[in-house]
Amino acid sequence: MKVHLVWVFILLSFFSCANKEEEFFLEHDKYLKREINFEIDDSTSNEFIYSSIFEDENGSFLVALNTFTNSVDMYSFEESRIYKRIYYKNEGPEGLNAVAQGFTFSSLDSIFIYLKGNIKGSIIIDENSNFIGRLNHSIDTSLNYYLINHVSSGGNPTIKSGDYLYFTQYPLFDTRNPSNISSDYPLSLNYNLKTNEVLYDSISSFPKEYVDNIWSIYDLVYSRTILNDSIELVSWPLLDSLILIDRINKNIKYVNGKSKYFKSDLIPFQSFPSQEKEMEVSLGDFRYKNIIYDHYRELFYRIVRHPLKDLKGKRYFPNIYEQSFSVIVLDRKFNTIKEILFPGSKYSFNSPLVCKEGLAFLANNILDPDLDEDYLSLQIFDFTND
Amino acid sequence: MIKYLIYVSFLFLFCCKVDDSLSERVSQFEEFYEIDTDSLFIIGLDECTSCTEYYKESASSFLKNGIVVVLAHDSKKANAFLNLKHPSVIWDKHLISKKFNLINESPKVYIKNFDGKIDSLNVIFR
Repeated sequence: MKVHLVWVFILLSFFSCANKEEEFFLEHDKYLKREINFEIDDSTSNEFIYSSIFEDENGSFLVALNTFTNSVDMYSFEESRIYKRIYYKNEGPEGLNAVAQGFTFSSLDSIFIYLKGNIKGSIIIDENSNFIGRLNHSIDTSLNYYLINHVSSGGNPTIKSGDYLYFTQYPLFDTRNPSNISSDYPLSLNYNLKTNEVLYDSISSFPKEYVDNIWSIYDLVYSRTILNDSIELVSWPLLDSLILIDRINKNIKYVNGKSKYFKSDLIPFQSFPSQEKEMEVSLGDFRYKNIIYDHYRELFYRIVRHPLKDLKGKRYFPNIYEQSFSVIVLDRKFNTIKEILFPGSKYSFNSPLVCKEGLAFLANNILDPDLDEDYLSLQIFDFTND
Repeated sequence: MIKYLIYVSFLFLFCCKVDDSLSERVSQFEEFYEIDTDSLFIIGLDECTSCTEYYKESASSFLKNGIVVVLAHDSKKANAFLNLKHPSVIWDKHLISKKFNLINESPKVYIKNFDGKIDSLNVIFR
């Protein structure tokens, strides 16, 4: 009898493990609405680090900054291939004259291409490669406006809303010095396109839970989405709550954004962590990542990175790409609707993009053994389906 | 003359420390790729999005005297950086140099001295 019970236990354990592994595939797959495989040429890497989605009456397009060809490439959803390559000059009076970092595809008349380490000198072109102008704010040296470590990546894009470009900047000081983690440091800056002024947004800074403490450098990288000219929503890696910031009314409010899979402990380091320790907490614990607003469906999506089970022999890079993740779906009042699991080594979870049909993920994870360099797979998920 | 200066931030940092395993790791790496050189320039493109632009010219100049190892998963990206058909370019697709702990985030240069010891230099663009 006891022997039978042991066998039943072993069998149950076996099947429960198998189900857990399959859960990742079953759960997200049922929301998959469409997959597009874009053909890409020899001068394009399928990394698509700087990418976004542009939609107008002509259709939906994946747009990407291609630093090999000095162009912004438009890929048509309809045709599953490149639709237009919009070249920008890299040299000369109408050129970028620097290393490119990020872009904002605001409209066919206004494509902003940013340079690395500053925003002054970034260029604006139109869909026909005509030079429209530059970002050229006056420099106040006392405020060190010259060097601006803006992010402008796919995971943390620079957003145009109204007359403003909303930049996120990462600090250049030693972030492991607790006195530098202060609520006075402005992590956000806004460029007024009408007046060519740069305004630091002092309300958007390190949250009170982080202040005067030592954290892993990876936990100081936040994500935000702009909701309108006054309100933005911020996601910090270690905060279960999201932070709703009302810039005009100088108001900060914590709202629900918690994952069902963990509760953040928010335990700072007692001394400067070694690289190995930073890697251990980044790969071995849950972390919140991007916050994204879906204006088509009035939903928020928050990405949660899940820990690797075995860290032996693992490094932050490339093993960060091995992590599975989940997407928390929140309604406009921040009620959790669902949280969906996605597998690791498949998607680039840094840049999920909102489009008319749903939330699009680039299936171009470098650890995917089936990755084909000549194609880019875009998978669109609709989480309103049940 | 390299147009973009290579700024050696930790010049001969490891000269002062005895790192017995370094020579061995470099040897094993050379054995893996069947190369024999006095100077190696190892650069990772996947961790540094701007490295393709920052280091392109200096890596190209380095080829006159040594071997350049390019870490990148994507062959198109690696090839846009340096011609992968060049006999002194190694495309380290499977990140073997990482496995031998020869590179972290920033590019590294390894130079063999006459006494067989190896100097390692972190390279930072200026």
